Amino acid sequence: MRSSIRASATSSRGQALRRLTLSAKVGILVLAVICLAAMVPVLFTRVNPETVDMIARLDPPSAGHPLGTDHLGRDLLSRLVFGARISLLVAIASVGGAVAIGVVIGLLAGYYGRWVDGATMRVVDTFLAFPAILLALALVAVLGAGATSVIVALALVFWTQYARVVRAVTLAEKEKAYVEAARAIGAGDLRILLRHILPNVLSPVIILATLGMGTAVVAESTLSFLGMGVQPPAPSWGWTLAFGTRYLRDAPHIATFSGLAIMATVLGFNLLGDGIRDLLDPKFRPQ
Amino acid sequence: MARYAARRLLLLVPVILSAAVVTFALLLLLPGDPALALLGQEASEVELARFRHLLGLDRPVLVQLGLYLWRVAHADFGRSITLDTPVLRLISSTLPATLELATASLFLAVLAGIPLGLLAARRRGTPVDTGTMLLAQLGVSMPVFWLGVLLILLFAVKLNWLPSFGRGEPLLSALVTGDTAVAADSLRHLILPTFTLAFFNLALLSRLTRWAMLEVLEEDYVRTARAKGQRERLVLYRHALRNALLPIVTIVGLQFGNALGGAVVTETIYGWPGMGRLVVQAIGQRDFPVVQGAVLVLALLFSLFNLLVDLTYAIIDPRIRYE
Repeated sequence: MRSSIRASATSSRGQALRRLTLSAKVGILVLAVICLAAMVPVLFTRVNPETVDMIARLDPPSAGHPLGTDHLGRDLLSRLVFGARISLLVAIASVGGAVAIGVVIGLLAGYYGRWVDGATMRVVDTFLAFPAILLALALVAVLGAGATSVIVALALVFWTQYARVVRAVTLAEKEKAYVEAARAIGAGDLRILLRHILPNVLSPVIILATLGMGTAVVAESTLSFLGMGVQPPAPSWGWTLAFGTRYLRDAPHIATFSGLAIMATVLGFNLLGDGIRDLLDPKFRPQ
Repeated sequence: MARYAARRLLLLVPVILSAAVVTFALLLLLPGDPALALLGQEASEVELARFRHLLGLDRPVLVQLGLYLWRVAHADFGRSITLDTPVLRLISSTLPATLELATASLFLAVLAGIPLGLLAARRRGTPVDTGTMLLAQLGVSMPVFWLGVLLILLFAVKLNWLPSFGRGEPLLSALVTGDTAVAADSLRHLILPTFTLAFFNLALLSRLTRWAMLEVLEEDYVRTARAKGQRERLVLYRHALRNALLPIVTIVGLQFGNALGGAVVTETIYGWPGMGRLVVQAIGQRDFPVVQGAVLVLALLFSLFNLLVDLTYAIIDPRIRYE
C-alpha cells in the first residue's frame, strides 16, 4: 500500500516536471549548475579563491584563469564559484526567515481576524511604507555589515508580502466547509491551522518564495555592492562587482562576469518561479 | 470623491506616525551605547556625554520617542553629525535631484513598458511576443547596479558619448530659462541614470501589461464588442486597455517606490547628487540623524505617491469609491 502511494507520488512529481514550461526547465538547469558550484566547487575549479598573485593582477581571461583575475591577482572563476555559496545561503536563510514570520503572522491574522488582524496589518502597512532596499540598507547600517545582519535585514523587509498573501488565503479558507467539519469533530485552533489551512496556503507561498529567492540574491549583492553586505575577504558577488567597477577601463571582465553570475542566478529563480506559478495557477498557464 | 480622498488621507496619518517610530527605533537597534557606536572608541567621556544629551539619549526611551515625534512633526530632523548642518537642509538640497531622476525613469518605464506589453499581447505567440518577453525577463533579472556598470562601460568608457558622473543644471530650470545648451547638458547627464533606473520597471510593466491585456481580451464584453463588428483598434483601446489599466496603475504606484529605492544604487553609481547617495554616504559615516531623516522623508514620499495611486484607481474604477 505504502509503496503504491510512493510510486503514485513519484509519478505525479514526474508529470508535474513534464508539465513545466521550457523556460522553467531552463531555470532549473541554470540553478542546478549554480547549486552544484555552491555545494561542490571542486567540480569547477581547484584554485583557492584567496590565493593572491600580484604579478597576474587584472589579467584578462586566459587558459590559466578562464575568467581572468581580480585586482589582487586572485582567480575570478574561483571567486565566483565560491561566491555562489554565499549568495545562495543568504537567499535561502533570508527567504526562509521571511516565510516563517510571514506565514505565522498571516495565518494568525486571517484566522482570528478582528483586532489581531487589524494590528498585524497596520504593522505590515508600516513596513510597506518604506522602499524595500532602503529599509534593508538602514537595518544593515544599524546591525553592522556581515552575512547575519543581511539575512536578518532581508527577512525583516520581505516577510510582509508573505503575511499579506497568507492572510488573504486564510480569510477565504477558514469559511470553507472542511474547516467547519474539522471544528465539528472537535479539532482545536492549532490543529485546524496547521493540519487543514496551512497546506492550502502553501501554493502561493511557494511561488512567492521562489521569485523571492531571486530578489534576495539581488538585494544581498546590492548591499555588498554598496559596502554594507557580506564583508571581504569573503568572495561575495556584489563586492567583486563593486571592485570591478574601479577597473572598468583596464579589466572590464571583473564587473562583466560577476554581474553575469548574479543575473544568471536571478534569471534561474525567476524562470522557475514563473514556471511553478504557471503550473499551480491555471490562470497563468500558457495556451 | 472628496470624501474618499479625505478618508484615504486620514488613513495615511497612522502609517506615517508608525514609519516615524520605525526610523526612531533604528537608533535603538544599534548594539551597545549608540553614542559610542556613532562617535567611535576614541571619543572622550565628555564628548560622549555631550553627544548623548544632543540626541536626547540620556532620557527615558518613551520621552525620547515623544520628543522625536514632536520634532519630526515640526519638520525638525536634527543636525548632521559630520556636516554640522540641519538634516532638513541636506534633504531639501538633494530631494529635487532624486525626484527628477525618479520621475524621468518612471516616465520612461510607462511610455515604453505599456506599449511593449500591448504589442506583445496583440502579437501573442509570434516572435515579437517571445522577443519582447525575453527582453522583459532579462530586465527583471538584471541587477540595477550591473546594468549601470555595463552602460557606463559602453556609452562612457568605450564610445565616450555620454557622461557617467554627476548632474548638469536641474533640467526643469534649464528648460524654463530656455538655454538649450544647458538643457542639452542636463539631458546628457540624465540619460544613463534614467535608463538604468527605468529598465527594471519597464520590463515589469511590459510583462504585467501583457498579462492584464490577455486576461481582459478573454472577457465576454470584448467578445461582444468584436461581435458587434467594432474595429480591432477600438476593441483594444476603448474596451480592453481601460479595464486592463487597474492592475497596471497599482504597479506604477509601487514602481515609484522601486524608483526611490533604486535611486540609492543608481545615484551612487553615477555620482548623482540626490537623497539616495546622501543616505549611502551618511551610512558610511555613521551619520544617523541624516539616515533617519532621509529614510523617513523617502517613506513619506512613497506613501503620498501610493495615496495618489489609490485616488487614480478610484477615478478609473468608480466602484472603489463606494466600497
